[in-house]
Amino acid sequence: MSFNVLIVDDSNSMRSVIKKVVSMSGFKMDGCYEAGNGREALEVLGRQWVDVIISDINMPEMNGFEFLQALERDFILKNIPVIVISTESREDRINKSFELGAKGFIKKPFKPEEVKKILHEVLGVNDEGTYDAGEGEELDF
Amino acid sequence: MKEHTMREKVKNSTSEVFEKMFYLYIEENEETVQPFVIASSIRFAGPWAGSVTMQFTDDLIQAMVRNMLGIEDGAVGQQERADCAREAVNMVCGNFLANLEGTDHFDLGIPQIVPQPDERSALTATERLFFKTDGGCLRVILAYPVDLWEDFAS
Repeated sequence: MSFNVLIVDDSNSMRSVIKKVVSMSGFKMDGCYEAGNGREALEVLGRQWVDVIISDINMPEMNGFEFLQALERDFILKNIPVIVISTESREDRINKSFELGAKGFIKKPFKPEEVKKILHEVLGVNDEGTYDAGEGEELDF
Repeated sequence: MKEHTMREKVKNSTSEVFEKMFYLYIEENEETVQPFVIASSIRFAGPWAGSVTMQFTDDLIQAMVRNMLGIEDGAVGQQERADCAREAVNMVCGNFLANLEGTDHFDLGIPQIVPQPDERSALTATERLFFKTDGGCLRVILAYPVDLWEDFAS
């Protein structure tokens, strides 16, 4: 199982770190796309389907909350799970992220294991990169 | 919140960011004459407004870039240094505000590279912390309204 990932952060360095952490988390990345803010991310999404979005909040031009709102308004894009990764980790900001449709929240600074854990939870995959079966269920193809 | 608590929170926030993101352990130290080569700053506003500014020595900013990006050899470019300095101040400030007591909301600005800051300002009180690490030195300056400082000090 491989995934297309979109990383949205205005810091080149942070995008590189997140990309590295995601690849170290056991996920096979088919493609990793990057954007410096929400507006650029929407442009990427117009050209490319992704399986998960990891987005910062505090960005110029279109911040993470505005980006989440734009995704929610689109009947196709709203189905892509978004993990917010931000320094703004007060409870009201976390709650607002979830209210706007985010599926996970990671506080900066973070440890690689924290990113891995949230990715696994949001995508429902295990360490082997395959989908977790629900309790008492087996995936039998 | 007392003044020393504010200082402690800045220290703890800086320490957590440097350990988790840059794999560097900081130690508060007596301020010495160090040539800082780059400074980054971020403003915030909410129940009160202020800013966090960080100054880095050349060896430290290079170590931060190398550790953050996993670069072993080769030159570290100006772009990477600036990007890393901005991200560091963003994380330290965000972490500091998140650790303040209460549930007041603060908005963060966009982190900027700034000229080396003036030593004093009449409009703001400052907490100045100087740290040493294995990779070099940094100074963190928290600026906040003078009247708030009077509250803390009283």
